[in-house]
Amino acid sequence: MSDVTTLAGELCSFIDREVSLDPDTPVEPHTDLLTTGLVDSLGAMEIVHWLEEARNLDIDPVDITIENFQTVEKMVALAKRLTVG
Amino acid sequence: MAPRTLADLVVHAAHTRPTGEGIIGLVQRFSWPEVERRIRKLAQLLIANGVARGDRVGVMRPKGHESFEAVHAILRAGAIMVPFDPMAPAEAVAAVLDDSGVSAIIGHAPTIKRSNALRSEVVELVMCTGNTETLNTDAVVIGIDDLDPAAGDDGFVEFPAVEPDDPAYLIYTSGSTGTPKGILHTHASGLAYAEATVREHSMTAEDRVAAMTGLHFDMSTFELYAAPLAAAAIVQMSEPHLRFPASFTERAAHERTTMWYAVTFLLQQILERGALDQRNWSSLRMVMFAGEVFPSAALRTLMSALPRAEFVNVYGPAEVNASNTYTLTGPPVDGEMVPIGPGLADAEMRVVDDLENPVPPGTKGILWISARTRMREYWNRPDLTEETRRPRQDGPDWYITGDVVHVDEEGIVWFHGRSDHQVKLRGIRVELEGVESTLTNHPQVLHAVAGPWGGEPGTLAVTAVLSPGTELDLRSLQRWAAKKLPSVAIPAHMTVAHSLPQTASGKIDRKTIRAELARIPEET
Repeated sequence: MSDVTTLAGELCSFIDREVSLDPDTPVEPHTDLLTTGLVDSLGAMEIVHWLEEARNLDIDPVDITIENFQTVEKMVALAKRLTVG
Repeated sequence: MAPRTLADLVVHAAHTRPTGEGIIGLVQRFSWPEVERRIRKLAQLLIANGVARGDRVGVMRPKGHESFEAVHAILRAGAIMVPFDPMAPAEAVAAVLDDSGVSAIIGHAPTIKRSNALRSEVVELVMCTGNTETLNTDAVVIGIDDLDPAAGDDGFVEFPAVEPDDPAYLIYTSGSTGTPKGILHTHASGLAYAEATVREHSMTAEDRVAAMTGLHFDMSTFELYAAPLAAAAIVQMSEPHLRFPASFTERAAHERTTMWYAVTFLLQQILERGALDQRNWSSLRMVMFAGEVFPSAALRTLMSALPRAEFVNVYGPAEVNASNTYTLTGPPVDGEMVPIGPGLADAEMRVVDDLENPVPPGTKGILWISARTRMREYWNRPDLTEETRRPRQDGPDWYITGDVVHVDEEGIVWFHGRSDHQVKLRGIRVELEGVESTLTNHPQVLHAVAGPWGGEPGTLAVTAVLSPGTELDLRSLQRWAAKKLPSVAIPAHMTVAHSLPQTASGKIDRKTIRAELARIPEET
């Protein structure tokens, strides 16, 4: 469980630090990243790369979807699924 | 009756295809008559609230069936439609609001709030979905979430007579001074594009068009005007669909889309991450691309992944809509260019040298275009309009594109790049000088030279000289720039220099610096 919490925190701070276009909106695990303009198309790819490298995950293109990347919470759920699977 | 103006298009679609699907929204589905009634209701609301012929009305909302309806309601009311990038930073929005004099906005409350659009006192009327109470404005605010076309059909509201030569829409592109410039099209020029496209690509009511372009981008004329002229169905895509190729392909295949029209960059993303091999593409008959040159290896792979589709290269600056089109006869050979094709419909081409004399076939020169799809003018910029216009007696005036081309013996046009400092990033026009002049407004930046970055295709890099004794990291610059520049123009890479190379005449040697930025970094 602690691993999941850590991943959520790390992702939030990574997006805040490296990806977000709006420094005034802190990224929380439930923040909608896609309809708010916080993350553009290259930003979305940076997040995918970060997850692949930092967590050594192999993300299939078919999983790179709106449903899996709308919020940090959903990304964590995806990472968990891929690790277990 | 054939449509005379863009305001007639949806009425025409409703007559042509009274049943079946017109617009496939993200949640709801509408027939063309339903879409027509919703648009009529919105147009009546605009008119009843004082919007008159020639007023500028902005569209400020994410993509979806509502944005299509907003565009056509504005045209129906005889007003001039001004589309906004829903993701644009507040300063960019303000620049367009100030220049265009938008007096009313149709949109979505959170988008309008985020854009800080209502700080402009010129906006008197807002019609929007979402929570209107958050807007905090003196403007008249009307909620349109529960738009009921049947309720109180204001038969007494009279629609203005819209004429073909009336201005129809005003679309903004980056200017070389950092101030955006507005391209003003008429009903006639927009309709000429739709007619030529429907005829050239044999579009019918059986087609299902994927809506792949932001409204603020000129390629949206395909989904906005060509689709209803053909009474084709429109499959709406949200902005997130365009950022997540697997979500796009899932919806595009499920909804049996038949035609795509997108920037090269998006199609490359779809090729790389769209899981194309896991979808059924039996309905897809045509893939049209534009915006920039498609690398031949990637295009070949995409063609083999979508074997039933015809591939079409479309060319045309926003000033003349699309003016050229070329259907590929087979996969391109490595390293060989795909031509931009002959003129679309009755568009005529002329290629000239530095003295504006026509050059013989096979010789490179600057492309001039004469076409009925030509804009009327740059908004409030008579100087610029004249600079790029050459009068012509026996046809529409020439537009000077600034693109370097040659025409071969068969009349087919081949593109060789720009004659100025305009570049295309992810399909969007960016004036490098405009980006540089914006960046030098940063309190620590003394000089900036920007250019496409070799490290990541589709992005910009900058070489900057800073005020003595100061430091600036890339992230701080990006966050500062995100408030002023569209996201494609935010530098993805920065080099800090103490001084810049100069040319013999003592100017900053931009060419050398840009060549350095464009160099592909070696793997370390």
